Amino acid sequence: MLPHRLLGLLGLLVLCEGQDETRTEETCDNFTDLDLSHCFMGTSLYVRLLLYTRSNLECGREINHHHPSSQPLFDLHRPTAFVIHGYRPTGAPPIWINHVVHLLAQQEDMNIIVVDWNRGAANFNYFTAVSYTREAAHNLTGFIKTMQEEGASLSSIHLIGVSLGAHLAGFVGANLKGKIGRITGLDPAGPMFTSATPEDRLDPSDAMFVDVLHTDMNSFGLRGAHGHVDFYANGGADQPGCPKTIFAGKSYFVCDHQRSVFLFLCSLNQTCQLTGYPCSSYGRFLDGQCLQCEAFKPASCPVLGHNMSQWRDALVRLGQTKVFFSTTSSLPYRKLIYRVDMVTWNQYLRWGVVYIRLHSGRNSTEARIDHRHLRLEQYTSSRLLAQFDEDLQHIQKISMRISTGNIIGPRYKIRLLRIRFTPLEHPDRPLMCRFDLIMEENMEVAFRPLACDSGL
Amino acid sequence: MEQQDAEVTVYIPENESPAAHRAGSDVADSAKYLRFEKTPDPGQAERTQEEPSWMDRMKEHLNAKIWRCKVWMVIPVVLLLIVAVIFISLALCTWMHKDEDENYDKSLFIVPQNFNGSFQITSNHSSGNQVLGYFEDKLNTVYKSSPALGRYFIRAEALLSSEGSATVLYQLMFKLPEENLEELRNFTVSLEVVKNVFRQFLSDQESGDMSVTPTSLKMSLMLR
Repeated sequence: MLPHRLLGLLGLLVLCEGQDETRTEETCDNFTDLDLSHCFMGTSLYVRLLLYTRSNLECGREINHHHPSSQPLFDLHRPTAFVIHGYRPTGAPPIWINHVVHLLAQQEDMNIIVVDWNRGAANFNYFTAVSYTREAAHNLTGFIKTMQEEGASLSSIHLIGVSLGAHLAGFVGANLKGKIGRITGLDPAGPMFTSATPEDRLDPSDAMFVDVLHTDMNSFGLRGAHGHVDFYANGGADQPGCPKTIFAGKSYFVCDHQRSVFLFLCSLNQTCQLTGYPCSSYGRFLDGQCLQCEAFKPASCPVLGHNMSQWRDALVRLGQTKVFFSTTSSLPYRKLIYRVDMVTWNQYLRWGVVYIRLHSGRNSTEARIDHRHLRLEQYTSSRLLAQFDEDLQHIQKISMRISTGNIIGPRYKIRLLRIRFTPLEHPDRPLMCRFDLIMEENMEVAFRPLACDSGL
Repeated sequence: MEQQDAEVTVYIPENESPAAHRAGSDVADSAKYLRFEKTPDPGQAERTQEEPSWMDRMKEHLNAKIWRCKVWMVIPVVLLLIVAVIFISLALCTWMHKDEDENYDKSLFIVPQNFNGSFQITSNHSSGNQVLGYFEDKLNTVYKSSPALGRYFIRAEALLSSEGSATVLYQLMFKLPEENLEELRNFTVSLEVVKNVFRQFLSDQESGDMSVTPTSLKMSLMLR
């Protein structure tokens, strides 16, 4: 009996020991969490590199700067994405770090390295953080060079920089003579960079392919074009759903700027396919004058996200391309776009703001094309871009109103020979037409759409 | 101080209060308002010691009489008149407004533009002539009631195909003015619009009523 018990006890001990061992192995290296007092006192630069792979998604592993391969999870033959955060005025870890790691891991089997330079970025004094970017970039450049020496290829490296991190990524790219595979800049920081020369900020020469997303050009973001492709969400400045007044508190300041990260996360998630249309300005895009994607044939226009391989060569060849899109105020951000063409037979010129509502069963969604008055001229096709918040399929009814702003005086009639609705991002869906339509100004008219006759 | 202007008399209302009599200059002011020339009262300095306030003078003005009404009554009347003129002219404008697009002279429509085509019917109608009459009526109604095409439409004719009673042949006759002929042919009375007006009519009908197979609709422009 006794030897039996002893054996049992021994076994239990071994088991406990084993458990202990696994626990010590699983200590995670998490993002540096600082608080306001650190920011107030000021922090000096300390760069940590936290590795995440599909096998340790929840638990980061800090990598030794000088011996990357000492970390067994780090496979230098796989592609590597670096996620670089920006200025941290409160010192708290960015709320999106976990999301971006998970979503990047879903894209492909790769090394995801979170560049944690919270010590350095967390300073009340923004200028201190800016001055650390060069140093942090130098540090990261050294690490990437070591990676290269140990067998990694520069072309399989992707730097994703947010705000100040975008410029940091640009500096790293410039240090490596633009041989990095790709840099993605999410709303590159504006303050202190507005009049910077290309060497002092992110620019297309920093990597083989540079894509930039702009969401807050009128405050924390940087105006202009800085990549091979620049995506301007809602024109790149004010974002829908973001507070317009300071009474909303913190979100008044950060909402527009942070939207760039959320849009990028959403695009990684495949829940929102955000297609950017090449155009010279957002105004022209809204007018429906920039809906051509011939330059990218057979691909569509560039879609924001991780996989840009379809457009990469064309975009690099084109030099710098500005692309525009609109979003809704919340997930999944995507808008349903129709190109609407109409021809009137009214003898006299009419101007009006157009409201279009699509109905499918009990659901309906409205587009207000009210950024300018539409010009309706006899026998001339007028085009507009109708963007709906909801994606409705099988449209059973369309209602439409043209508002001319006339309140008094005679009610004019607007006579359409033809109106055609072309769903832009769904080539599989039918074109909808209606012929010989008559409507009074400011009055709604509803009709059942007809499948356009392609036989003519 | 002494000024003479003998030709003008001061107008003093009958029901003037004694106070107003004392303030002679004010009465004179209101008299000026009523297009009398002012005659300064030589005895003014003696009679009034203190200047009447602005409010008092305004009251005097407003209470002055024109014919049988007081001046203050005239003000709202004038305002009302202005508003009335605005509304009347607006109403007149709306009433007089002629929609230029509804204004046409049918006698100028002389250039023929004809279309022909065919469609298939599904249900069995009793007799051939009844079928033709029915579809001729439908075609006439559709095109006569069309806002864009109605004015150019003359008539529609239907006949049965020799191949079988399931196919109806039809002809649509339009007449266009010589003015803007090319544009009318290319846009308004174009094959695209004329054909789709009928297609649209068929699709708007709840199924069963028309018994026309929408996909079988064919139409082409008749060249003379």
